[in-house]
Amino acid sequence: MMFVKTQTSIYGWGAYIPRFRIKDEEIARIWLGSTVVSSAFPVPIKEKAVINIDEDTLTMSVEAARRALKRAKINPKEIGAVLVGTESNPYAVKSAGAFVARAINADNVILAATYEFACKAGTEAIQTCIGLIQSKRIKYGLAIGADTAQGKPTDELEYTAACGATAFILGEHNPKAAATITAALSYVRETPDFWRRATRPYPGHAQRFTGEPAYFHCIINAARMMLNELNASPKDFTYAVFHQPNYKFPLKVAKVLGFSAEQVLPSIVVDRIGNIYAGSALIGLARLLDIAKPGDSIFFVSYGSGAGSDAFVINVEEGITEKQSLAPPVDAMIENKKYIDYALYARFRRKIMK
Amino acid sequence: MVQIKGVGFTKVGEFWEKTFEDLLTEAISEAVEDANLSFNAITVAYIPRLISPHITSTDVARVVRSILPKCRKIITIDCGTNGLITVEAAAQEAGNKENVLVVGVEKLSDFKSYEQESIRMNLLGIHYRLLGIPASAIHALLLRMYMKKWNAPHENIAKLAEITHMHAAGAKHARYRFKLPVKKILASPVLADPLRMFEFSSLSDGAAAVILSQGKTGVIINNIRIANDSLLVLSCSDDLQAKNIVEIARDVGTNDVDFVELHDESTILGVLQLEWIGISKLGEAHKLVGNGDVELGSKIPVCTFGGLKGRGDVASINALYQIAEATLQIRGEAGNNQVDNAKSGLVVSLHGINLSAGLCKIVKV
Amino acid sequence: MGFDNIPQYWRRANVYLHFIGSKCKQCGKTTFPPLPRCPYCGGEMEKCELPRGGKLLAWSVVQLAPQEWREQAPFIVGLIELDDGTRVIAQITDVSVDELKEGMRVRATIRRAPEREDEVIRYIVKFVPDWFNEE
Repeated sequence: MMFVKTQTSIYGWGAYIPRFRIKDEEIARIWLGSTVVSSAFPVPIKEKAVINIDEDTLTMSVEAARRALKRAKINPKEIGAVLVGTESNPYAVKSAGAFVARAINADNVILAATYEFACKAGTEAIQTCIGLIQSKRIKYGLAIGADTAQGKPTDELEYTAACGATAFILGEHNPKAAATITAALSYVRETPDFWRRATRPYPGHAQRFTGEPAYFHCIINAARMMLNELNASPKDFTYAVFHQPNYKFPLKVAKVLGFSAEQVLPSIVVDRIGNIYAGSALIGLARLLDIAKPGDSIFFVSYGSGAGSDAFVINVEEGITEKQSLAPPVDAMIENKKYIDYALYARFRRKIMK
Repeated sequence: MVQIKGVGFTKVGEFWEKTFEDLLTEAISEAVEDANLSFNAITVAYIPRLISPHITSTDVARVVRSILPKCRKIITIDCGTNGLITVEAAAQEAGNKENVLVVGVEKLSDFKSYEQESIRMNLLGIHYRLLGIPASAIHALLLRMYMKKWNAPHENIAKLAEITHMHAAGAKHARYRFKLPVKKILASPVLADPLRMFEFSSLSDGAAAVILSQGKTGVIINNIRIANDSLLVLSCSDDLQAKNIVEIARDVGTNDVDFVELHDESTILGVLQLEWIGISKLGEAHKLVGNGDVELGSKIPVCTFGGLKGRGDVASINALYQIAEATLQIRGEAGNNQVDNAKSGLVVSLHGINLSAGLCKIVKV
Repeated sequence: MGFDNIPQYWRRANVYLHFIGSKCKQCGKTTFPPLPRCPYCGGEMEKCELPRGGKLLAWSVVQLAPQEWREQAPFIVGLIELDDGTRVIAQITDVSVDELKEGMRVRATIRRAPEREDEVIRYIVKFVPDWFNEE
């Protein structure tokens, strides 16, 4: 079992949410109402974030990375690994990490890669950085979770598949850093709950199969093992953050594990920006870091279809307060929005055949 | 002295049925006849490199060589839309006792509107193409900055197109021979706001030929000056001055000219040119235009046959049309468009706004 | 229609990704993109990283876009003065023209240029309003 006690600090965090939003009711108007009926439909979230025609996973990753660098205040040349976790790399083959490394002016003697494990690709990147830092192979690592999530028109996932990026700069323990990861665990059980075939533009999924045997199984197992290893219980933590594919799931898994709604609500942003896949749990963490105080503790479990979970325990350090104002907070990005209709959304997300 | 021995040019327009060979033959034949020479008399030819991307200079050279059996040397010069660069080289060669033909052709109306915008954008260079900054946007920014800086009403600037259309109406070879009032110009579709479509010239078809040789009688071409710059006018100064153009205009002296053939790719570029070449003080050119003081019949008429806007924009060979038109003026053969007692005219040719500029005078001796 | 070329773009890309201009060693003036010698005084120029923040001086909405850029039309082209005085012409994105104000703070970011299918994607510099006063 991949469990480790560690002292890997987060030096900087940064997020990027594109400006445009489409309301779920607008998507429903097209696919559930059409010209037939116009009553209100139950939708999973209020609205989701949509990229502009000139954005993609790489441009968002660079924005998030630059913001993380502003907080970390390190020389980018000292970064030894640039790992981008995504399921929407504009290239099926061409390292996203290499591009981001170039854009932030990192050194050439580094590890750079694209990570894929559905929605936990970003936390995979963090796991790797922890290993590289602990073994003293690198000084700092940049881990990114970013996606322009693909939602097939007529499919339920279109209501939540959204765009965004979150970046973390990690290094060896430092109380002046923002926070420190003190334990890490990775759990995997192969489950074909959600997938995307190599040349296909949209993912497929097995609907309710993505719930209990997938999302809940992995998160609950990873969480319980973590709590066990640490001899801890949910009340020991200030906050909890879980992967947020919709509004219900993180609240439900919190309840099952014994966390209160108050502990988990501050990290939930999916209702207003949607599910940003590899950046989803991470943007919840970013929001927590925006508001956390020294001494706070965070219980974090991501989930990636396929399937698996990365669990971390994070303690907030004294260095966090002065870093919070060095880059825009997630809340400000959520509020900076402009609504578009389905036609523009289809244009920007390149769903229109020419 | 370099004499303009003969000129020939086709109508400017959209000629679906005519090939570039047809247009070239027409222009060269007319020039040779106008010069009272035979085809054998031309020994050197200079060709401004076509902007039309679907025709090569090899194609043109082959046709020219075929028409002129004694033409031993054909040189193509890449001058962008500043044809005076080619004319200057040809003029130097003419000084060596050759009959030098400067001839070119364009078939730009073959291209769709957005392909033409692409051609224009590429003339600015790879940086502008990569960043997606079309030529129309540069003109639009110039217009916005000028209007703001001098409190100039758009009507004044747009009036240049009304005036050039008026001139084109009387010119047999012009493409747009109809009146175009300012109201209609300002109501035309937005190209890149605030610039309207009817304020921007149209890339067209045409061919023109000018024969230069040594001589001291008739019409001569002198004071040819070329100046380049490495920065677009907007990127470097606040007062919208193009230093390189101001300098060569001062050098040449523009007080004594009877008319000016401007490179009016857009109304605002025409207005700015008047200030750059010293015809008007800074910030005053829009008033000059707005008052109609640049019409035929006024003190310094511009674009006497319609300019790039009214006659048509033939890219690499605009300068040849300008020189030919100026020659007709000096000879007194301008018909409806005659400038009274025209003794000296100024030709302005530009590429990439101010990246390359050329001036010359066409003078009666 | 110029030729698009991958190695050529790759060599230039740092100018756009790192936002590189040139500064004159003699008179201190700056240009974007970089030039070998100063267009003002002729002095030697050296490459420098430009500040990403600036103010918007003027703009224009391009309605008839060149062929390569039709996918992103209409778009806004702006004239920006960076905090160090450098004049830059670049696209402004993420805004409607009604939201633009003369003098508003903008910041440089990287965005995609349209590419032909199966081709390498060109990333270039564009500007967005500095919503959060980052620069």
